[in-house]
Amino acid sequence: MNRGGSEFGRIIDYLKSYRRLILWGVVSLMVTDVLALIPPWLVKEAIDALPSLSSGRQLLPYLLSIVLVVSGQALFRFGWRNSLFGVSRRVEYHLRNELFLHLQGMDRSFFLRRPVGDLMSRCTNDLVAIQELIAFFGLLVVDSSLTIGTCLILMALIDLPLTLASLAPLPFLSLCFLHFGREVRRKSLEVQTELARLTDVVQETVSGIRLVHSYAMEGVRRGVYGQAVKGYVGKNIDLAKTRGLFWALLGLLTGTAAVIVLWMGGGRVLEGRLSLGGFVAFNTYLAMLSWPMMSLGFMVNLLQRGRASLERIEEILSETPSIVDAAPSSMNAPPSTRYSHTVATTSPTSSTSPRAGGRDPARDLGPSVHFDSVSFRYPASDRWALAEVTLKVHPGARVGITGPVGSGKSTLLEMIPRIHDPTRGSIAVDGRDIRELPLKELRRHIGWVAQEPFLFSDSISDNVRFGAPGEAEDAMIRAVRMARLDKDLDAFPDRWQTLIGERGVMLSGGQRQRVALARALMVAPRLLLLDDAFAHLDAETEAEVMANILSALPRATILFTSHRASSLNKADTVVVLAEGWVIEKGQPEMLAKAGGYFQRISEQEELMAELARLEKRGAR
Amino acid sequence: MRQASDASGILEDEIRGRTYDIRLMTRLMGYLRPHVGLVLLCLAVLMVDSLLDLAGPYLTKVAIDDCILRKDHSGLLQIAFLYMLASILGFASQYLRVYLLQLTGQRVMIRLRMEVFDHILRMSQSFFDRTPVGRLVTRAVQDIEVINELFTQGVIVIFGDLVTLSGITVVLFWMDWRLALVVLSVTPLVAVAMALYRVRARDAYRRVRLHLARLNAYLQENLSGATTVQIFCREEENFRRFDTMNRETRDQYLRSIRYSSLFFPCVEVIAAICLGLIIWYGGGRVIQEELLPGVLVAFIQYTKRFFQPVRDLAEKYNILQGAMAASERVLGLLDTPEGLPDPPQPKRPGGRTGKVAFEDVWFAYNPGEWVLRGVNLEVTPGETVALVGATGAGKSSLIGLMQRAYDPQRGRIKVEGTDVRLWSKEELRRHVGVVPQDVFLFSGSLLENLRLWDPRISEDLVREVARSLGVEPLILEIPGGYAADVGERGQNLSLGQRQLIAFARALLYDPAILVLDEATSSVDPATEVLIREAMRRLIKGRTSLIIAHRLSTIRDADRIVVMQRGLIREEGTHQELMAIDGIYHRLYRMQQLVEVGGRHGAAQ
Repeated sequence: MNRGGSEFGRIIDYLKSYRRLILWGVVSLMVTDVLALIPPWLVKEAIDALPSLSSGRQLLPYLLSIVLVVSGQALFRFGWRNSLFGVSRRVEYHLRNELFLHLQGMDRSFFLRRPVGDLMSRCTNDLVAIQELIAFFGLLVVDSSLTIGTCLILMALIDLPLTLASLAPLPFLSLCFLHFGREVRRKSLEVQTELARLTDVVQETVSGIRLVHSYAMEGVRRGVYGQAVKGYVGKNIDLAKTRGLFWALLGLLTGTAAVIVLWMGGGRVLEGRLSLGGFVAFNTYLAMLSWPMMSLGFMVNLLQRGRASLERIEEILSETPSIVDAAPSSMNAPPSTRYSHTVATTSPTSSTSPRAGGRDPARDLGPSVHFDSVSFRYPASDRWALAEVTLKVHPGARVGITGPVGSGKSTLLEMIPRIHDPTRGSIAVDGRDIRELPLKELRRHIGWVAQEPFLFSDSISDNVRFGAPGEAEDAMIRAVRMARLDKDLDAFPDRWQTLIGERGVMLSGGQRQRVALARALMVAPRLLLLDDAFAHLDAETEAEVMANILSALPRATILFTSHRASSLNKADTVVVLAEGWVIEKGQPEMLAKAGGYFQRISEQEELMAELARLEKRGAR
Repeated sequence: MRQASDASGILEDEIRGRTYDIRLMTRLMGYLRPHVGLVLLCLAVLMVDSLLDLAGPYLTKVAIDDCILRKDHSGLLQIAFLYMLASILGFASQYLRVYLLQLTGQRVMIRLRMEVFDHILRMSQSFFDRTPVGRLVTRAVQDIEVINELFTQGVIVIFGDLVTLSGITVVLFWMDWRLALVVLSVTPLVAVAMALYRVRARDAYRRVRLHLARLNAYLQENLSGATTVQIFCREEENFRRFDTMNRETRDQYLRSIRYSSLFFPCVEVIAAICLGLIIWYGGGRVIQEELLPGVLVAFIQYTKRFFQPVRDLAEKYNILQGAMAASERVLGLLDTPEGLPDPPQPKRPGGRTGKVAFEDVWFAYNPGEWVLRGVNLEVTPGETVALVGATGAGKSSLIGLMQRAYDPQRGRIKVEGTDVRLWSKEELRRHVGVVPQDVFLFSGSLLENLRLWDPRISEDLVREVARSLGVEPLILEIPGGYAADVGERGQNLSLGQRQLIAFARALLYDPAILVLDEATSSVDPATEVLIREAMRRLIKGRTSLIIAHRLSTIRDADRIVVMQRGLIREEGTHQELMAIDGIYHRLYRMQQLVEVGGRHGAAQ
């Protein structure tokens, strides 16, 4: 991982692959800079030649050569802009891909630690800073040093004493840079801090809008916001003062240099020690010097920002997921090779082949699942989410899991596809420890529906086919029918092609769950995990969907969590969890009489059912 | 960090966003009006600054023609002195220019910021139900930031550039109109280059933004749904898609780089043609002694500056584009009508008796999905009513309607005999106090969170109320006590503490009518006793509507209202309802069986 030891290692690796383009860019840039020196010299020659010429026609060569030189320069200017700026975008592209691939492989504990907003900021703002660093830093270094060097040489060639005199303000210039550079950076940081505060106030107010409305706190929040705005505006104006002073001083110093040149240089022309053309050219070169001088400050800023952003990106890229394939992997290869390796594995054959291809879910027997004394604790927590859970699920068994909120039901299911790894104990699927199975092989057979499923802002059909993109249409229709989504589908404006919006906002909660169910069924799972998957459906629909699933996947192993006894009753075995412990386990008929939690929820539900019947009778 | 949070919002906005719109500009200019004085001052400074910038070449000309060529040493000193003076004045004008521009921009933005914030505050609950927080933050903060750039770097600077351009033109014509015409002869070339570039740059810029927004939205989705992607083994397919988007974005960038790489050298060539023409034609006239050499030099220097604004304009173009898109989004938000405006002349009901009446109220969050279907309920002053029913029976919707977070589709709600739609919302909400299930805490001290920054409530009163509710011991248990910083949404407080804070808050505001959504989550027995006791004191002598989950609360109520599927099914006292073999009877038995069951049912 340690390449060159600095945070620049990664981009240097990428830059190396564009060696030729960069070389061409830098050479073009240098040619451009050198060619830029010629027109002022031609002007000098022309002016000095004026007294000896008799007709304007003799000046035509100067016109032509100036246009010729600049046209040539234009070619090279196009060249360096296109290649150097282009390289920055190309490296950005690679870096972004690398980030995506890396983040894609991270496990749940990573995402619990790092909010998506923070990651997004790194993938957007920081990437911009890095791209700018790549685009401008080399350019500025080459451009500044070359321009400063050559201009000084030419100025010295024209008039050495005048050159030395005109550089008198230079020490002040560097002092100015040192002092104001620091000040501007400090104040920019203050502005950023105030901006963050402003953002927080808005964020907080909008998040707490119910409270704001309900206690008529609008005035209070307006006050807090007004204060934050005031602070932000104040710091901005503060920064503007410093910045204004900085620019004004720069102007004054270059102005002073120009005055020195005018007075002393003019005097030297007058004394005949400098030609008029030389005087004009000297002025032009002096003016050409000011931009690279000014860009020094920009350069430092660019470097600092770019370096900070690189560090933030390295921080992410250097994290390794704890849940990985046990088989020796190429994770330790340098990123460029790792990256290309990953690209190479993205061969079309591996993912367009339908996952369910060739298998018949109705006949394929589900795997056994064996929890052996599994304990699990979330990284930031000090209590056990699962405590010594031992559970044997036979091939094709249906296991219902229940318990109060926070008892560990979801966590238990999430252990199987290795969203978490046990802190202690182990889990075996089909007799093999899941940590020894390749992740893909483990997950390929699993269908999973979460209580609040994550859907993508695609069409219904894309979402249903999510796990089996190559699957034929009739399989999709079957899955949708099984999930009882077919009727809803007819009501959607574009049927299959209906776009469901960010996270499926266009759908109701129940529809989202049924899309997720269809998605899970599409992969023809041998092992189906339903995490309170029907909470948004009414009991009647839930029972219907449940019956559909059970008959459609007669041989699959199914584990599901639910609060409803009616669903749990369909299981072979019911497990009751409380604070991570298994407190009841057995056939539902038995547990219903065991005097525990399951009996209580069963009776409650019976009462509910009776109530409903009563209501129906009443309605008639 | 926050910018990224609504990438898909950007996407949506970007598709909507048009680029240039005169109406948009006029509206934005309207924000300048209150600061006319400052704006004029800015323009004056800008003009002086631009003109001082032009002094240099002219002084050089005078120095050459009047001093150097005439061998006038003292005259040269005078010119040098004038040049120095111009530099010093330039120093002042440059400083003022940067400072005043920022000052004006920021002042103008204050009003826009406050307007946007106020507008957000005025929106009704249904707006917030469908608008992600991140998007509003972007509108109120980042977008306005971009509009500020439009002022400080865009409009006013462009004006400065125009002053420079016209200043140069005037000076050139004044020095020598024939040579000036030569310089102007290249302007059609510049205009053509600009026009060609502008059309392509705009298009390229739009495509870049669009692709980038799409790319980031997809990235965000893949981060939020990482687990789903992994379980369904979609990593490769999704990466392929991402790679395609990434590649397309890169290619759009490369395209726009190509355009600017073409444009800038073209401008250079045009400038060189101009320079060559000056040397050729001007030099010829110097030879004929029709023109002084100094004028020629001044022309050469002015021509350089002539092309600077052209380059600036091209570079500023993207900023302007972004700013226009941001203005459109911000003004679009301001144009979104507030959902439930106050009546023009709100009634001021005199009484504070605490009367509430629901009259045939029908309500649905989404059309067709009725949550309330004709609710009739009258609460008499001082009465405590417990609302009982399963999740989704419509109990919580009643709260929103009473505070006018939503309006019913049919029927009406009367508070103190007056339709809530005739009240001013602020007054209504002070009259009807709500204690929600989960308390929201702003960053700040516990004390301020209790009195909600209301200066009329003294610290002593807060303490007194907390003591009277019996919650002070619990507050003092929190490290820091009243001064404790409870920000970050109070994650360091226990559930019980949070509930009691909500009670104390409500009592401090002393509403005539109290609506309480009893929390369903379980707390330890000691806190349970505290809560029960505090609630008893809170509702004493006050009209109270309680969405009840605790048997004790229900039993203590004057009246129990049983709701089911948006309808009131049974009403009466505990004894009355127990006497009939109805819903309540069964619910009560159920509740007795499993306190837990009802709780986790409701917690969903």
